[in-house]
Amino acid sequence: MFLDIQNLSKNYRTLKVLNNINFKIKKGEFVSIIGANGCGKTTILNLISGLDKDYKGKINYDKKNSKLAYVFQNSNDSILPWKKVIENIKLDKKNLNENKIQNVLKEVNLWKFRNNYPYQLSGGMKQLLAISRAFIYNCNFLLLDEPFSSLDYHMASKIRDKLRKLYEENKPTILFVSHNIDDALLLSDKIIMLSKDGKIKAVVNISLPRPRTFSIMLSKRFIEYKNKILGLIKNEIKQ
Amino acid sequence: MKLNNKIFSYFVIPVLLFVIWYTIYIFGIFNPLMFPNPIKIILEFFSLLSDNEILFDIMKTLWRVVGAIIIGALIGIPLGLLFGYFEKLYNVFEFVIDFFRSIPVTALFPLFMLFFGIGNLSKIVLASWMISLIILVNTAYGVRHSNKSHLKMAKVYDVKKSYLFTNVIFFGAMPYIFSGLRIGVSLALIIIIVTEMFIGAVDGLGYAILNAQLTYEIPEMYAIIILTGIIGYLLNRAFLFSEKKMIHWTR
Repeated sequence: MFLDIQNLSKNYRTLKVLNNINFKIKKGEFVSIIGANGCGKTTILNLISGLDKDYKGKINYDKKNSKLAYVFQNSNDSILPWKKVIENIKLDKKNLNENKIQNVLKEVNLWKFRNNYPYQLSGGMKQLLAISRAFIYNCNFLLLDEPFSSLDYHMASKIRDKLRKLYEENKPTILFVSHNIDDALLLSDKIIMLSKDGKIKAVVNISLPRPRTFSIMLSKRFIEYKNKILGLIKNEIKQ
Repeated sequence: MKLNNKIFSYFVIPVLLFVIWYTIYIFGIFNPLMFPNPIKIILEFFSLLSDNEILFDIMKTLWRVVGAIIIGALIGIPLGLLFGYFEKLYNVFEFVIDFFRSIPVTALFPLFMLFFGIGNLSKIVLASWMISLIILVNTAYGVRHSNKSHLKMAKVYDVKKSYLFTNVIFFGAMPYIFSGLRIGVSLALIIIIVTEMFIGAVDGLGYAILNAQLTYEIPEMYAIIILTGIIGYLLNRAFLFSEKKMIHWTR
């Protein structure tokens, strides 16, 4: 098992955000966490990444052998606006593999913008830059916090497809937070649904074949999965 | 519309002020010693521009101001970065910083004269003292109010502390540092001009203004005051220009 979360609870003063969460993720698995706003999705990522150390329970993963990357919801948070694209990739690292940089940036069509500043890129390109950096660093554990939420449908679909390709080629372990069911279904092996009281409401294993292209959204099995999740959400709203 | 506004503020209003002044002078509303003929002031102003002595005074004042700004920035920026990043450190020193900031800087001049003499050093040190405090507070504020996610990102990618301070925290606080520098440059000019009017001063624009007043060369005094104003304005514009160039990502 790559990641093992046991009895994870988190309070913000008197507000209980996470309430005894338990789940496991296998190496190379793509897992999505979905749920309403404020149900603690981002909190889980902050706790796993170590940015927030104030919690109860256990978060176990092989820290020594894993390289973690965290892509924030807002692309402007993940990249430094005063650094060019290439400088944002390299940061202070001098021994990065130049070929790898070139290959990944070419794959996501950012290579020709390597000497541009982030403000010369669109929101989607900035988010791609943040995601690409994780792959260039050979990160094998990615935390993605609603990376497409600020993008329009077309751009989100495009970037989602780039992420899917990068994932299928490199197979890192990914924990992906979203409130978009289509995104979660297209990308994940497993979807964890959080309820408003900070508990796990359901875990749905997704056994759709890969590579999952846009057209899979029209397949019968995809629609069945979607209906299942929508049913769970409907249930949650009633309660 | 934009051009009209510019013509209005750079040309029409100064001409209007000139006409009002000239009217006051013609009708003798105030003592002509205090309000001399504005044409005389203008002529004096242009003759000053070819006067080596006043050019020397300008250079003297400018190098004191620039020296004070450089020293103030070299002390204020690093300390501000540290105080902004380590909040506890700032909380410990907050009272002392606020107290020193609250002392009118001119009240400290006799003390600084005692320590650093009556030459250049005491003037520059006094101005740098005030500027460094302003830049320190602005920088610390900038660090505290910059995007915290950039720090998180740097932490996740495990960047070195030196890179964190020089390439992440410093740049994040840069808009605030620049506004501190701009306030600092105006204040430096004020402090330097005032100190140049004290005992022992032998050059500088402050000295020239006081000297003209003491010798009843009132049109010359006005002309030097206008020149000082122009220098202050140009310094401010130069800072605004470099701010726009250097903090290009906020456009």
